[in-house]
Amino acid sequence: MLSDLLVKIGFRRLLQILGGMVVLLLAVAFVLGLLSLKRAQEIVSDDFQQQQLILARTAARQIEDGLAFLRRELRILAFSPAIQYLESVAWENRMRISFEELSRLGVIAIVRLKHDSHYAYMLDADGARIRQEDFSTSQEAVWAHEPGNRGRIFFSPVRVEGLEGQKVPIMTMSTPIYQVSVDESHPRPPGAFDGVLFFKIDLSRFTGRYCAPIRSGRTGYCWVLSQDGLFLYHPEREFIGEDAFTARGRRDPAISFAAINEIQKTKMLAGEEGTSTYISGWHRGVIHRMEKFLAYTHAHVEPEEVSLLGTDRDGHKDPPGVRIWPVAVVAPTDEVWGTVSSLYIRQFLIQGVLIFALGLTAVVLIYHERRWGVELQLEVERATADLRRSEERYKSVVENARDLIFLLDDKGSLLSGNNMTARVFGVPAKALPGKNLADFLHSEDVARFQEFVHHVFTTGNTFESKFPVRIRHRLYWLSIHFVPLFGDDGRTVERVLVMARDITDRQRMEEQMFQTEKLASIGTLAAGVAHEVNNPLGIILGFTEILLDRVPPESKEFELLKTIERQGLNCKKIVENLMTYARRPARHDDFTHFNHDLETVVNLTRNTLLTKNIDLELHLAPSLPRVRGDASELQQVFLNVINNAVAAMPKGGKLTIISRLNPYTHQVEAVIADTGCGIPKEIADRVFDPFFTTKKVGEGTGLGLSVSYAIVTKYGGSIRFESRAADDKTPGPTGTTFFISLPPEPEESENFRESRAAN
Amino acid sequence: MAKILAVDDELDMLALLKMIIEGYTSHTVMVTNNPLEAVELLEKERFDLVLTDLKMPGLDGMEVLSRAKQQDEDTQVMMITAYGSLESAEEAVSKGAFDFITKPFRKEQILVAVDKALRWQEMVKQNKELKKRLEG
Repeated sequence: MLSDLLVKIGFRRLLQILGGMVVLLLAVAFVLGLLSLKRAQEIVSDDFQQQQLILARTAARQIEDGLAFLRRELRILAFSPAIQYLESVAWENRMRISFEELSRLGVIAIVRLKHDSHYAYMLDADGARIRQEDFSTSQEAVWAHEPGNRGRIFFSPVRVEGLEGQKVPIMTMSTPIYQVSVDESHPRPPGAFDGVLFFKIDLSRFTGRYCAPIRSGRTGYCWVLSQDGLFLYHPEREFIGEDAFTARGRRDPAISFAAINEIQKTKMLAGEEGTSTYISGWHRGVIHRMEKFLAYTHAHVEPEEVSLLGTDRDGHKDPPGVRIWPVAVVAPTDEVWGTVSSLYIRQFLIQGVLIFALGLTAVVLIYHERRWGVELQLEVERATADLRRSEERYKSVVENARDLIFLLDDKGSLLSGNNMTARVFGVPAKALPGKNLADFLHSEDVARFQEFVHHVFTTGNTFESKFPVRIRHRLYWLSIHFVPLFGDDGRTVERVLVMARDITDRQRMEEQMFQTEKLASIGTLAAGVAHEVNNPLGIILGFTEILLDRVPPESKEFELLKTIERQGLNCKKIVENLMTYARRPARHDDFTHFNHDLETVVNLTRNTLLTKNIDLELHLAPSLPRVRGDASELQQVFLNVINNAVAAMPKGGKLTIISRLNPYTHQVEAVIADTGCGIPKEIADRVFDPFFTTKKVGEGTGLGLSVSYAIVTKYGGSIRFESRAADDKTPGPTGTTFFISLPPEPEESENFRESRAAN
Repeated sequence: MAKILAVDDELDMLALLKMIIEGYTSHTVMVTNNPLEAVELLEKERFDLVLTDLKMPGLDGMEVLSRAKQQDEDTQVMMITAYGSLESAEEAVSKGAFDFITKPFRKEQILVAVDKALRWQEMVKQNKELKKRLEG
């Protein structure tokens, strides 16, 4: 055939065609490589940004935990009789005992103002003293005087003070003091108001404690803003306490920081969470213009207490009643893209070399072919005819069976095998005879196989089994029949026919179903006993810690104990997660903007939707009333539902999101519909169970929907879904629609009119 | 060297507290899993510090706190509980408890809290002593 072609078009012309093809292939490979590089960069940067976002969220949660610890300490101190009655020496001793721990969190002074606000009892790094001055106009004193603020905590606005030549952002955290505690001298407490107790906090030290250790990628770092846009923490010390909108420009006026300023203003300070990129002029000592990845979220400063800060400053839309500190993690894009590009250049070079080698081989072959010419042509024709006849013979049922079918002798050597066998063993069917099972199978599996074959040879009985076999480093679950083939005497087994069916997929599915069912039942139990678990968990962790101190650190036992401790701490975390939602009660005056929360989450997921090829259709009803609920909790509900929708559409699809006032239930409702695989009927009544998940191990905890359910029902709302899976008998496309409803803010509510206008 | 009483209905928890405190400090720890017995002990002996669970059958931790304070104002009391909330912490502190620890705790937390409570007790005692001398 090749010779025919040669005769028809000539050797030189064929070479030209081949050369042209090589160039064309190289060009195609280059274009495909470029497209693929772009796509890979998108995917890698998307992943990287998600990682950065997780880091930012971790820092934000740690900041919130730190603030919670300070709140707790402030309240405990406020209830201490020594602080309430200010008996000499006692007050300073009590402050000193707490100050050691508090100063590690950035508290630089503990101050107690007396009722008349003329005396301040304070402790700082220089020691304890009483200052006499008129403090009655200080904002802490003014706030504490309000009887309505009893039992509450006030966070002052952030102000910048100069300390040792550096700008330091300072905030105070105060609580009113009422003399209500009992001690020896006050068996009947007077219960009267007696001033205020506050912590003076260096916020650069406080936030730096959590942000300084953060590394995103190789060199990426974390910074934190106050709600007025001041840097609370930044690895560049000179930025701390500076206005984030002007500090960068002052340092390098040649660069436009419009992009980052815009993000800071419209996203970060508006309480949004997300990712973006911007241009910067430096990074950890490296000074040149560079693009940076940015992931941002925020820490809630005061989840329940009132702030005097006000809600609208410089046109920023702060979520009403809640003060936030934006937290950002940034890293140069070069660090991420550079690696991908160099990999692709290498891949392109390898492709080029391969294509060139292929072309060269073709030329050599043609040259060879031409030399042997006519003589070989006859041979080829004869061989081709043989091959065709052979092919026809082998086109039998056995040959095309989807099972592996092969013959073995008593030593485990292959006598023949069908196409499937050849494919799985990775050799041409022709090469199978003479090979041994040991050439393809893992040594342990060969031994097992031999044992069964030997059994059939000695007993002459058919044998059937199901077991995992590693063939060329891949694991197959095979259902295998060993059938004896007898010789002429009808008694001696001469060969064994092996018929093996690949049941790997079925086996995996069964295992996965078993796993999820097990987890679901454990999860339902675990949620119920979360509280009870803390007691035994405390005992396990405690004794482990003691044993750790008694065992030499380099011993095997030490490692084992460390594992117990690590796993125990994991349990502790899970129980804490479960208890967080159980613990925070719904408040009657918690209201949030439904559309705003929905949009926040949609904006956060837009990138993911793009990369997953999911079209978004968004219809938000204008002027919806506010709903009962907490903004961050409601956002979590939306995020959980949308994430599940995205996971249901791995090959892309359409996500429709609608907000409306349901005319029948009179509740505000979000409808989130996907065109994904749907929820099969068998699991429909378990999707809200804790720990129930259909995702792979490590991809989902199975808490998303159960937590969402708990949040929505807590505020008197409801969450339900309609779904059509592929196995459904009724006609129509597959997909799932979730309905999330919450009661609207009552019209008689104080802020109703205002907020409606604003919304 | 201080004398400490630990009260919890769980015997293993008591063994743990005893082992932590006696293993890492020179203080001695007496334990009981019966709050009524704890009250009897408080009547008979003097303790520097009482560590008590909040929820126990028979008598709860708040009651142990008030009995301990009735017996000796200088005795410090610390709550250790699996049902941690800020409200119960505040209530305990306003009735005279020194601190509040939630389970599961780390060894270090217990040691730091015990140390803080005992240092505070020492300071209170010294303070009283000095006042008495001034007045006397």
